[in-house]
Amino acid sequence: MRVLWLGTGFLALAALVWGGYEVSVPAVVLNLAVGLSFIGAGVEAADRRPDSFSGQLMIAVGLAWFVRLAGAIENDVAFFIGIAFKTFYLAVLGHLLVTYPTGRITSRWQRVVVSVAYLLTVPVNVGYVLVSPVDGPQNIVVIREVSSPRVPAVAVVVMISAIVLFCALSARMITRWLRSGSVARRDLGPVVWGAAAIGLTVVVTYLAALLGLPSAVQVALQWSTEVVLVGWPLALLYGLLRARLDQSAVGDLAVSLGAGLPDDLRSVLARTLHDPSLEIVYGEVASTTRGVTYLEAGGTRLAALVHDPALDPGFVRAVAASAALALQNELRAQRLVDAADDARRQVERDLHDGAQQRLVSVLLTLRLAENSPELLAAAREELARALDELRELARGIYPVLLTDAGLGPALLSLVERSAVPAVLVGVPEERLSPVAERTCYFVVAEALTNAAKHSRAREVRIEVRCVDGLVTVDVSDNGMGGASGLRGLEDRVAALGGRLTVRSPEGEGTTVLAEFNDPLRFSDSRR
Amino acid sequence: MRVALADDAALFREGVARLLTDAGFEVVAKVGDAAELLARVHADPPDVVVVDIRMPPGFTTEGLDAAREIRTTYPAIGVLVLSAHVEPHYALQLLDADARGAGYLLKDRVADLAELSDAVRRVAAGGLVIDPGVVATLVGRRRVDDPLETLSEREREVLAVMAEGRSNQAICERLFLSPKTVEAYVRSVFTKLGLQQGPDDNRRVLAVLAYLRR
Repeated sequence: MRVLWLGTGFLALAALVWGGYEVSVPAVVLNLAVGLSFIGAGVEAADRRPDSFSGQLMIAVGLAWFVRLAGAIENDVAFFIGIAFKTFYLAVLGHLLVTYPTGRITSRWQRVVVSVAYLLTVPVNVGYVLVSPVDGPQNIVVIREVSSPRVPAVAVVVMISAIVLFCALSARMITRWLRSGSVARRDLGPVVWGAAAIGLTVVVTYLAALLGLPSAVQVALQWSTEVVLVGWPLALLYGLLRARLDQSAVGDLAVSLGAGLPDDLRSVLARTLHDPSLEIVYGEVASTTRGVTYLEAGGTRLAALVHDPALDPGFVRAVAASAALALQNELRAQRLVDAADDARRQVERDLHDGAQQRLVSVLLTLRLAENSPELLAAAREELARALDELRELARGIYPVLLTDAGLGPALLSLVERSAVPAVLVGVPEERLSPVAERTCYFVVAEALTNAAKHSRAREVRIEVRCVDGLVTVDVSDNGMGGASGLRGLEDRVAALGGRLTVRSPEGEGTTVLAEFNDPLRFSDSRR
Repeated sequence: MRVALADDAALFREGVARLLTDAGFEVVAKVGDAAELLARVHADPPDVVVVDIRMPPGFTTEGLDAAREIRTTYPAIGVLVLSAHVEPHYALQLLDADARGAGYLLKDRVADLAELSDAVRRVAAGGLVIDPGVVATLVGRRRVDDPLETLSEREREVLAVMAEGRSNQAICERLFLSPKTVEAYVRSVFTKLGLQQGPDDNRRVLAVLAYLRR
């Protein structure tokens, strides 16, 4: 492809410099620049967006532009080719415009417009050369002042047709742009305004020729057309590549979501997708004309993105996949904690209603069948001890008071059994959600155990507060500090989106502070 | 003496019924849940209700709730709640300002026929029964500048037995002390802790429990 770019460029340069005519340096530079910018941008676009034919069409525009330069060679055949293909590039340009960004003809009106455009160029030009007298080869490439611009009738028809086509095309593209949502506007922007500029210069140039304006004006207009032609392919390339730049933003998104779900997931995704109208719907999505992309993980729908339908579906899917992964991780952490708590409850129930119940029954049976009083008494004693142990084990696994009576009584029970003197300074009057109460309880339980093990504290003060849904658990002791190893608690608090701070300077006691938002506050009439 | 019994575990229920029958009680109702217990009590009020704290359908505090309801509706009926939990919270839920005829006992105690029948008789007579395990938790609690440390070993024993709801007479029997000595210990405990002696045994229990709980 690079060979195509360099080779055709060199041929064009050779034609302009050694073709036999006097060509100014700006004219050489500008002619080469137009062709090379189309071919170069086209090669790049074809490479980066293999799904679109626009790159190939851009290369075709560049090649058509270079073929036209055959007219710069002082030779009959070359002159004929130059005349035949003089306006061919405009037809390919129209083809590119009509089908941008896919490069494919998908509707009937596109087929008609593109066919008419091609018919108006090479066949008309060839016919014109064959029927009209031409006085030998002349330089038809380089813009120069012609003393008496005499416009033949055929040219008038062609020019008027071209003007109508370009006006229609520009009008259609601008209306398409105006009717689009913000996403489609952003995609179409470069091509619409670039095309409008080219269309305008072509139309104005042709109008000037038709109206027979002074040749100095026409020359200026022809130069401006060529200048616009150099810049436009770059705008087109940018438009095509921006989708790819957007795709790379998915990587950044994945990295940032990997660090944890942001508070406002919606605006983060809206920014990445460049769609301010984006909504995240949890649950059923009402029927809508907008685009819907599901956040799925392991075959389960977690949520749905409702977005501008003009967004590239592949791009939205990539963003949705990143968000789904992050959401799933969050849910999984929450589920882990819930599952562990459920397991604790189950174990507690099994021990009390199963093993313990059985032991009591055995005890009773032994009592009823007294044959060997001494043995039976020993057995009873043993069983009673086992019951004590079982009871304490069950208590440690899950505090029954937490569900039956709430956080206050459960914490008081902890305090009453604490190996370090402990004081419950305050507990919220109202009930918190079950998961919040469990979190508070286990933070206090772990912190108390930790204090009893390592701190040699004389007193531990416990306070739980809840202000506007923000729960803080503060467990402070007056021990020797230097506490460590509360990892399990960190996970537990982090699962609620909160954080655990342990301040334990050597010799100054330990403060364990957990802060989190109660996810589902509710009031319970039992209290 | 007529007893209604509620526990969802059939084997345990039958065992307790048999023990009570052996001890001379008349078991007039044996049921498996709180709703049926309430229905039977309404139909034919017994002298005492012995009820498991945790029963169907929710397995939380159905038995405790039923016991409280019976205490409100039929103040003359003694209620004894059997529980698997050594939790002062539940025991104190059963008692209010002028509590009488109520008890909270660990299930394990039923193996000791004397202890079970004693508890049933005490609540039937309007007394209070607090399980020794619950009292031990309250007395054993670690405190900063613990006032209980000012008590002698004997005084702490007397305090604990008092908290279980025993009368002076029972304390004498339990600790092998003369009535005069027990009275002296009780007075000394109340003085050291700065407590007012209640006008009756139940008030005394409540005062001690409230002190231990604060």
